[in-house]
Amino acid sequence: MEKDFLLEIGVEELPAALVDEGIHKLTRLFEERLNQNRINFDKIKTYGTPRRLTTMVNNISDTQKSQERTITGPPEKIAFNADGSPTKAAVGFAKSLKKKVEDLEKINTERGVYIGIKIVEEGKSIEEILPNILKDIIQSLSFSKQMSWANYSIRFARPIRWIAALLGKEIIKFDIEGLHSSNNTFGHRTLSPELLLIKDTDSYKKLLEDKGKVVIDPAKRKKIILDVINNIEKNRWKNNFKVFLDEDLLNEVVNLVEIPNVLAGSFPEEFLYIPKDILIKAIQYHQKYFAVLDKKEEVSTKFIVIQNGTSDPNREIIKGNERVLKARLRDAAFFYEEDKKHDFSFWFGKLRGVVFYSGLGSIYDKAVRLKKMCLHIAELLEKSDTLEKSAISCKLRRACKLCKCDLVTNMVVEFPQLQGIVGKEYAKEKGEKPDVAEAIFEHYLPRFSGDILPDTTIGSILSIADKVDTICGMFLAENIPTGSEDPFALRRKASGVILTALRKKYDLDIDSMVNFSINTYIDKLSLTGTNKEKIIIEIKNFIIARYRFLLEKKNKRLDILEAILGSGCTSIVSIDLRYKAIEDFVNNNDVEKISLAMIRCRNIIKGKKYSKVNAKLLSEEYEKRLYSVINKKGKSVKENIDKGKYSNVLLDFTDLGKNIDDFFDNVLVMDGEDKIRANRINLVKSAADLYMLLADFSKLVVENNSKM
Amino acid sequence: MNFQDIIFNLQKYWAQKGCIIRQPLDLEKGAGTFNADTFLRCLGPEPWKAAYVEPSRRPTDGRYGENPFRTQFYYQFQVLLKPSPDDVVDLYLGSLKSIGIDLKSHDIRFVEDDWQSPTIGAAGLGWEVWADGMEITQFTYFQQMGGLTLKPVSAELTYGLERIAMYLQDKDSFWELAWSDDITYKDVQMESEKQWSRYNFEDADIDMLLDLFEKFEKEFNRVTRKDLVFVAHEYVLKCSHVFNLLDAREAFSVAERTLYISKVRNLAKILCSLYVKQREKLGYPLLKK
Repeated sequence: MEKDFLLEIGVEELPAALVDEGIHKLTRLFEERLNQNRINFDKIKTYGTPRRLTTMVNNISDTQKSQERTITGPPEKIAFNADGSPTKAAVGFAKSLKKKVEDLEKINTERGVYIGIKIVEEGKSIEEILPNILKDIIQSLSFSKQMSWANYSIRFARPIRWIAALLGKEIIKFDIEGLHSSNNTFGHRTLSPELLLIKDTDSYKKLLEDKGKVVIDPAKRKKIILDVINNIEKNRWKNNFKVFLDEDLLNEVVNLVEIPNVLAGSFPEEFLYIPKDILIKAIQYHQKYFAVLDKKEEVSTKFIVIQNGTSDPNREIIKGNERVLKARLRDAAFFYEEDKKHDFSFWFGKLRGVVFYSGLGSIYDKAVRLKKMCLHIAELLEKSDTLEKSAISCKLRRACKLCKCDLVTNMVVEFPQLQGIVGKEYAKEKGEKPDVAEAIFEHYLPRFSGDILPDTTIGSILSIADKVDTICGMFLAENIPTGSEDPFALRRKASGVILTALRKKYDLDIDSMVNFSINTYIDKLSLTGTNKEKIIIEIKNFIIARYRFLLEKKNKRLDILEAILGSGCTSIVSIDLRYKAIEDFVNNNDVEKISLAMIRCRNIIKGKKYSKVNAKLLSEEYEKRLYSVINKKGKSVKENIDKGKYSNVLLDFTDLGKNIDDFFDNVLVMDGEDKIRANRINLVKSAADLYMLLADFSKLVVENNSKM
Repeated sequence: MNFQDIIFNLQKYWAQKGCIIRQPLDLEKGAGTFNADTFLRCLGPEPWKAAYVEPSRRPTDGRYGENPFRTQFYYQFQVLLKPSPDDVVDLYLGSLKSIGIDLKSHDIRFVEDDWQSPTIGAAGLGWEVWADGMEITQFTYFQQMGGLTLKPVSAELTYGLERIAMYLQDKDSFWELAWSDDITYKDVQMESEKQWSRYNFEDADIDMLLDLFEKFEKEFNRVTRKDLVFVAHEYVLKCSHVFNLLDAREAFSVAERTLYISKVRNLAKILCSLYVKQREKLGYPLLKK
C-alpha cells in the first residue's frame, strides 16, 4: 500500500538564500536516496521558511523493490585444485556467506572467471529502512555556509531544533545526537509559540496555516505579497503610485518571513533630493524595504515593509520601521553631502590606498592599466574599421580615470552595491560628458547572469578592458576558478567580455587582448617566458570556454566550434559568424562533401614533408585542374574570409571538394617517381591549407563514418 | 523604561537564568567580546554563563556628539552562554519580554549576520535581531577564537542598550534618552563624547601611541613567558585600543595598517593557545561545577 510521507526539519532562522538552497538540495537528496534504496514514489516536493524545511513524498511504496546481487569471491583458478576439489579459499568464501561450496557458481568478469553467488535480496519494509535513510539525508545535507552549535558534532546551516517525520499517521522514529523525531511541530515564533501535534501528512499544511500562522510554500508567500501590493496600488493609491519591485529583494524577503504581511509607510520629503538610484538603494539595502514610484517614475515618500506576521493593530510596527528608515536616509543624505565636498581628482588619488588584490597593486594601478588596455582595444577596432579613428580616445582616457573613483566615496563605502551608480550620478553632477558618466555605470555590466549589457562605445570598451584585466590578474595570482569555486566571478566576467563584443560586433582577438593585458602587469611581476606563454594559453582557453558554455546552453553543436578553433581563429565575432555560417551550411547541405575531402587530404599528407607546388611537374588532367581550382578559389576564399562572407567560402569549398574527389579517383598520389609523388603531396597539402583558413573540418562529427 | 532600568531588568533576568552577573572590565575595549569573560572563557571545554554591561570604545565612530546614534563610546549588554543552550532563542525572546517588549504586537526578526573580527582571529555565525526594523541585538554562535576552532560552541548575545532604549522610549536619538527619570543620556555622556571625539581624531599623540604599542607588545611577550595569561590578555586589549586610536588618527598607510592588524591577531593567537594549555594543566576546574 502506498502512503504519503513528510519530513520537517525545524531550525533556527536560516539565511534567506539558504532556504532556497536547502529546498533544492533536500529534494535532490530525497530523489537520490529513495532511488538508491529502490523505493518507488510519485512525487517529491520540498517547502521552506526561515524556520523549517519540509519535504513531502507522495505515494511512497511500502516496501523496497527486491534485487539480485552478485557476490564475487576468489578467481576460479584459485578456488579449485587441479582435481576439481575446492581449495581453502573457496570453502572460506562459501562459509563467510553461510553457503555451501556447491551453491557457488562461475561468474564471468572482465578480469576473468571468478566464483561467486547470485542472491536475491527481498525488499525490506519502508518502516524498517526509512529511519536510516532519513538520518543519512539530514546528515548529508550540506550548505554553502555551515555552523556548529553546543556540543553536537553535526554541522548545518543553523541549529536544528526539532524533526517531524511521518508516514501517513505513523511517526518514523530515529534520532540525531539525541534529538528524536516525532509528530511535533512549531508554528510562528511569536504568533503561535505553543507546540503543535501533526495528526497526519494530509493535515500538515492546514495545521501550520490555521493554527501555526505559517505558509510553508515560498511561491504562495510571494503570491500573497504581490496580491496585497496590487490591491494597495489599486484601491489605496488609485494607481497613482507603483511599488518598485526589485526581483532579488522580493525573493529574499519571501524567505525572511513565515507569513507575510504588507505594510505601507512614509518618510519625510526632505530626502527626495538624493539622486533616484541612490535613494532607492538606501531604502532597499539594509532594511529590505521597497521604494514606491510616482507616475513620473520618481521616488515618492512612500515605502513598503514586509512584516513577518499578520497585522499591525497599534501601528507600532510601521512607526518603528519609519523611524529606522528616516535614520538610514539621514545617514545617506549625510554621506551625499560629505561627498559633494570632494571631486574626482581627490578620489582618484585615494585609489592608491585601495588594494585591488594582494600582489596585484592598488585600484589606482588598475586604472592606469585600464587606460593602456582601452586604447589598445580602440586601436584594434580602428584597424578593423569598427571605430572612427581616435574619435573616442579622449573620452576613454577620462572614463578610465573616473570609473573606479566612487569606491572611495562615503556613499559606496556605506552601500557597496551602489558602485558604478554613484560614480555615474556624481559624474553627471560634476558636468562630465554623458557617455563618460554612463560608462562608469556600464563598465560593471553584466553584474549577474542575464543582466543588461553596456550600450555606449566607451562603456563597452571599458567593460571589456576591466574584465580582461581582472581575469588576467587573477590568473597571474593563481586564483583560477575550479569546479564550483569562482570567488571573483571570473566566469561571469569572461561571459561578459564575449557577450559585449558580440553585441557591439567588436571583432576583438582574445589572443591579442590577453597578451597585451599580461604585459601591463609584467613590470610588477616577475614571469619567465615559458610561464607567460602557458598562462596566456590558459586564459585564452578559459575565455573561449565561456563561448562554448553559451553554445552548450542553447544545445548547439560543439564540434563546429572545435573545427573553427582548429583553424587558430581567436577573434570573438569571427568565431561567432563562422559558427553561424557552418551551422547553417550543415543544416542545409551535405557537409561531408567538405569534411571527407579534407580528411582524405589529411590522411595523405600525414607525417610527410612538403613544400610549394611546382606547376611544371603537373602532368595529368585532374591534378592540373585541381591546381588551377586551388589557385582560383584560394583568392576568393581569402577575400571572402576578410569580408566575413563565410557562406561563400563554404560554397567554394564544396566545389573544391568535387575536384579533390576527382583527383583522388583518377590520379595516383603515390607515384613511383619521387619528384612527382612529392609534388602531388604538396598539391594535396595546399588544398588542406585552404580549408584550414576557415575551420578544421576533420573535427566535424559526421553521422555516417563508413564512407571514410 | 529608562536606560538604567533596562540594565537592571536584563541583569535580573539573566541572573534568574543561571548567569553570573559580572561588572565591566576596567580597561578600554572595542566590544564586550574582548572581556576575558567572553574572549577567554569561550575557549576549551569548560561551561560558562555570564552577563555584564560593557562600555565599548570605537574611536573612528566618534561624531563629536552630532550624530543621533553614532558615538565613539557606548554601552553593550553582553551575555555568554557556553555551551549554547538548545532553547537559546526562547531564552533571548524571554529577555525581551523582561524589558517590556510585547512580542505579539511587534515584528521580531532574525536577519543573517555573520560576524568576524580579524584582529582577534574570531568568527561566528548568527543574526542581527530586528525589532520593527531596528537592530537591537547581535546574536552569534562563536565558531572560532584566536584562530582556534571552538568546542563546545558558545552563544553570544550583545544587546545595543542605546538602540533598545530608543526603541522602548520612542526616541530618535541617543541623546534624548532618559537615563533615569530625570537625567538624560545627553546630560551624562555628551561633554565627554565631544572631548573624546576631538582627542581621537585631532589631538592624540601619534608618536606616543606608536611607542606605547611597541612597549605593550613587548610586555605581552614578557608576561606570556611567565604564563601570566590574564595579564597577557590585558596587554592584547591595550595594543588593540592603541591600534584603534592610531587608526582614527589616520596614522597608518594601507600596508602598515595590515601589518598592525596581523600583529594584534598574532598576540590574540598566542594568548588563546596559552589559556587553553593553562586550563588543561589546571584540570579544567569548572567542569566539576
